[in-house]
Amino acid sequence: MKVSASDWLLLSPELFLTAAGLLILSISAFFDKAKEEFLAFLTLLFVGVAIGLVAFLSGYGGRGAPIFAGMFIVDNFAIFFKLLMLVSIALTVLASIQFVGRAPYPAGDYYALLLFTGVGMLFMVSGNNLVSIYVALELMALSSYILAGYFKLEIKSTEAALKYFVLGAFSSGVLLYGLSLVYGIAGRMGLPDLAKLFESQAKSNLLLVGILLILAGLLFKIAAVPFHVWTPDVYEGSPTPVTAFFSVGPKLAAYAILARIFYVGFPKFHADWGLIIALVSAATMVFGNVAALLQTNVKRMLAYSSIAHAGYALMGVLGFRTEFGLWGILVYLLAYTFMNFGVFALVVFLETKGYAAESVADFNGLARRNMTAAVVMLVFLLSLAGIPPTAGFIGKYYLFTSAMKAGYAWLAVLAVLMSALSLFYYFRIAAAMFFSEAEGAPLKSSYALTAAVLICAAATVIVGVAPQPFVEMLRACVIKAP
Amino acid sequence: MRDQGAINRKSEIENRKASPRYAIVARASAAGVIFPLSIVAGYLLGNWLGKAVGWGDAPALVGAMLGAAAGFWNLYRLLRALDSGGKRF
Repeated sequence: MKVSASDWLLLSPELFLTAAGLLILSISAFFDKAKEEFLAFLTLLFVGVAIGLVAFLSGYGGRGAPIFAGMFIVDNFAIFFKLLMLVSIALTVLASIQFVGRAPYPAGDYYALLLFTGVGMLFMVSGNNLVSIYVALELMALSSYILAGYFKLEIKSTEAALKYFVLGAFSSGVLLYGLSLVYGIAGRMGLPDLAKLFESQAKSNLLLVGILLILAGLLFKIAAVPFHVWTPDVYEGSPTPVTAFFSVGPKLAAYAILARIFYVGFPKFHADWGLIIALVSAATMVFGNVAALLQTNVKRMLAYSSIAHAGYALMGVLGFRTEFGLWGILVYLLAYTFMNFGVFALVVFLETKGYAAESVADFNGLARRNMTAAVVMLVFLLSLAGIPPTAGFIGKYYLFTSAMKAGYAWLAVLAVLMSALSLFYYFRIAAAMFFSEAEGAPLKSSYALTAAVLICAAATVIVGVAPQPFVEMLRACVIKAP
Repeated sequence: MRDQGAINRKSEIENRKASPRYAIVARASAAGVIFPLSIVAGYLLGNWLGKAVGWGDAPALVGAMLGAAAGFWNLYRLLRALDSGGKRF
């Protein structure tokens, strides 16, 4: 395998973050708890440098061609996801400083694990070979399991980690079985090679089952129905900043590889996987929204809401060989990252005794205790429901249009109905904030958490009010279907 | 005789204490076996349905997907059964 200097340069963000994670881990071994804020600052600095490296690569002439003998590719699609994922890590660090600082656990481990999860995610979105994608996915997943159980003396956190680990291990098994079936039939693992081979080959049932099992493994990571069962328990049990991160970061990586594997590797079988994804999307939207309606625990409600949003986002994969392609899902994920993280960051804001805002009643009278927080929360809820002029509306508009153009008008109509249904449970929180009596003293937040919330709110409003520059930029990031 | 009876009762209590652990292992093993079997069963049922009704490959794919989902659900039920109910360590 011939590796050039350009190959190393194109993977420099991943390599840098790996070194940064190891450094944080080493520093935490020699410094006591008083240095936790320093570790958080250092993590933020490293993530900032990684963002700078990715931004530099976006203008680098060598991008777009396969590197490391075709194992990876750094194209505009990967660069968009890398930037978004690094921003989500930075937001998680900001939301964690106060939360983790109060916990009796080593912060160095936490921040290092966050960076290692990030490394896995960055490698995933650049994966151009089923093996490199799988190894990166495992790196991300193993770090995530430990993060879920970071509060190791809290039984909820430990149980969440156990469930996540066992179900995640089985989903990896399913994915691996699918990969091995595809390899057994094709004898190769590179995505472009697979597409080339299958172009001249008749489809076999065994190959379709292999593709389906790969899809099932990825749907687990996205938390789509019927592989969603882990989500509410893991979201409820994990430390809230980790939940916020899980609701965006690993999902972004999973959407990216789902799109890349099926657009680049299996375009010939579009009719088969397209049908399954449409059915899964419909079931996920309906189940997520209906289940969210029945919840009183806010984290569980938001978990089911994120399941519903996974259903919407899957519609964006259906625009295969239309003028939209993956454009819809890119616009939607840009909006989703900020609005969903923002909601969870506000749940962290209301933290009590290590677990934050358990029930809708915890939001009672928030407007009287902290008007800014209540208004910002309202913006996020409006955006999640898809009300204009917020980023959520723009994201849903592009998704629904994409589904219509791909011939799935029934799915778009269902999505509109489900969005209307979601208003009921989002507005339960809004009503509690503005129309219920205040309980407790006025709330104050840390500067870091406030910064995370305000960044999310600003992005949600700006993308909603002036979407054109973002939307046009994302058009250049779409993977072209062959 | 009384001593023997006490020993028997003691061993019975110990057996009862020990049985949940074996039961958990047994249930976990069953879940491990049921998981792949449900995928195979779903695929075979779907395949049969596709051939019987003339719907092509779609029922086989949907069957395998539902089988995988059933396997996950069974595993999740097992994990839920192991929940402590929120008790702290």
